[in-house]
Amino acid sequence: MQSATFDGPVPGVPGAAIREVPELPRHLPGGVPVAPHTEALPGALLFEIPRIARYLVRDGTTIDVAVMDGADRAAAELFLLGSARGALIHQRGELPLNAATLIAPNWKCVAICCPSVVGKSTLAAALCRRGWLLVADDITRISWNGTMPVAWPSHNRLKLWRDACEMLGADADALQRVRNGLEKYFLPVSASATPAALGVAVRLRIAPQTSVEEVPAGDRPHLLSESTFRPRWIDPLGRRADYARIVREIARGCRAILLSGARERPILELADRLADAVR
Amino acid sequence: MSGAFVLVASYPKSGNTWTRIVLEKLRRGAGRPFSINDLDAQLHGILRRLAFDSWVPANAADMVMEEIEDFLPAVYRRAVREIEGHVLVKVHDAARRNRDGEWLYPPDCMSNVIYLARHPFDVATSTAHHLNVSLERAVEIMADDGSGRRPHTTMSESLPQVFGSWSGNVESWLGSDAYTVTVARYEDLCADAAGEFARLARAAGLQASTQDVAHAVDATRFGALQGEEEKHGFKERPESSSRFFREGRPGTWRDVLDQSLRDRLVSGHARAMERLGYGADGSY
Repeated sequence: MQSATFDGPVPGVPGAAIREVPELPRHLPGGVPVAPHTEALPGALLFEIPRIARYLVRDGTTIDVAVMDGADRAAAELFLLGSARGALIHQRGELPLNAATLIAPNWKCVAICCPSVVGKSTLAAALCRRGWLLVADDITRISWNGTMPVAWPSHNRLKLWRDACEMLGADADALQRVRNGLEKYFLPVSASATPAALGVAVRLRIAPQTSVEEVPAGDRPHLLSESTFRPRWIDPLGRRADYARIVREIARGCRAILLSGARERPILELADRLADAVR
Repeated sequence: MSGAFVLVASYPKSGNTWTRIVLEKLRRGAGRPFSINDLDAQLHGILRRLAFDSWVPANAADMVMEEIEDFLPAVYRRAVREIEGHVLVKVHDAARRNRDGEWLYPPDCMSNVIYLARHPFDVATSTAHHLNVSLERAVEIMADDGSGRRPHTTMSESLPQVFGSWSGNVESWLGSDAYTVTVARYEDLCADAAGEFARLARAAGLQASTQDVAHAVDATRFGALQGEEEKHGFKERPESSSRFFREGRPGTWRDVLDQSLRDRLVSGHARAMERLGYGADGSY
């Protein structure tokens, strides 16, 4: 994005809009604290990253952002397209999945789910080198169209630490830095521009050995729950029933597998195992 | 608040793991089986990172260190509401405040700080093995005020910690009037394990009889820990080190650390050494 203002559409959420405003209130009238510098009520969530920006997310349709004087706008954008967008997806009764989602060469759509520490973006980058197409990174919006779960495209680049760039043979110095103060870079990749039916949710797990396990249907809701972005926000936002329903529907509509070996096995080995598992 | 944290603080390689193993064994109760790999990391390592990401509105992976530190006190205040009793937390950070002036480890959430110290000659020797670096490099690391500050080329499993220099770490905890600090020296733990761990158990708020302490000490003798690591591995061992429990006794620096490196340690850390009763000749 990085334009003069952040005004524009919310990536991957057609119809939703971002508005940059001069200021936002410190508190949300009627809101309850749900995290440090974060207040919520049904239909609205306000949060602040000190010295960077304040964000007000409303009704699943609008994100207002007020950037603080002198703040790094690239940092403000990271939190805008990350947490603020994640809150907006919750407000719509859809699933914001902590996942990098890709389309395999056989056109199967695969969401690699795990917390940010485990290495999903690095694995996604390795898969893109093999011809996979990126759908979304960090937080994937998953909706239910009445028949199947749908993953919405929102990204055409991956955020990678310098170490990961070097491991993949990318020259970090030639890439755009995600923000000041972090040795983390945007790696452009081939991406899909259209929504895709989610075929497989893969939970990436840290373990000494690589293994692949099929997750039984009854355990799939748990896998999706533990991969949900900020589940603590669901109740204050008044979306518990919607959340339970969409998790049930998605669990019914896609396979789930556990891929062990993250962080402790070579990334190419993990990519091989994942490619085999979804073939 | 239903519970409180007990910080087990130290510069790395000063007996923190051994102490937590003994205290954790006492906390769980005599007769209950306990493995070194059951050592509950609580708010350390990857669990601290995951707790941070679940409670803070944005992920640590997108934040610079100062922003992470802005949120840390609130994370501990939130975490303390979810624990019962006294929970041990491993800390290698120096005691310090964030840019808003708040202590990273809020004193109101901490019932006590157990501060473990070890003679810097032995710390240097152990650090060199642990990080697989030369003794000279280990001595440099111990003099670096920013020691532990991550270069931000990668996001490790844990949140960044700043140890400070060896003496900076010591002075930060012992010189702070914000915390109740119980000091223990590694050398004294080795010389009188039963007596010293009984004292630390009281500081940690644990109800333990003399017999309980004797049993816990006996079950966690260095040879037993080494044996278990050899058999089952140890999850806190870094990749740079072939084994974590290497040589659990004072004086490992002898015949290894030359006079010039000892002189550098003494001149760089004299005040803290004196405060802890550590001599320039390696005495304690």
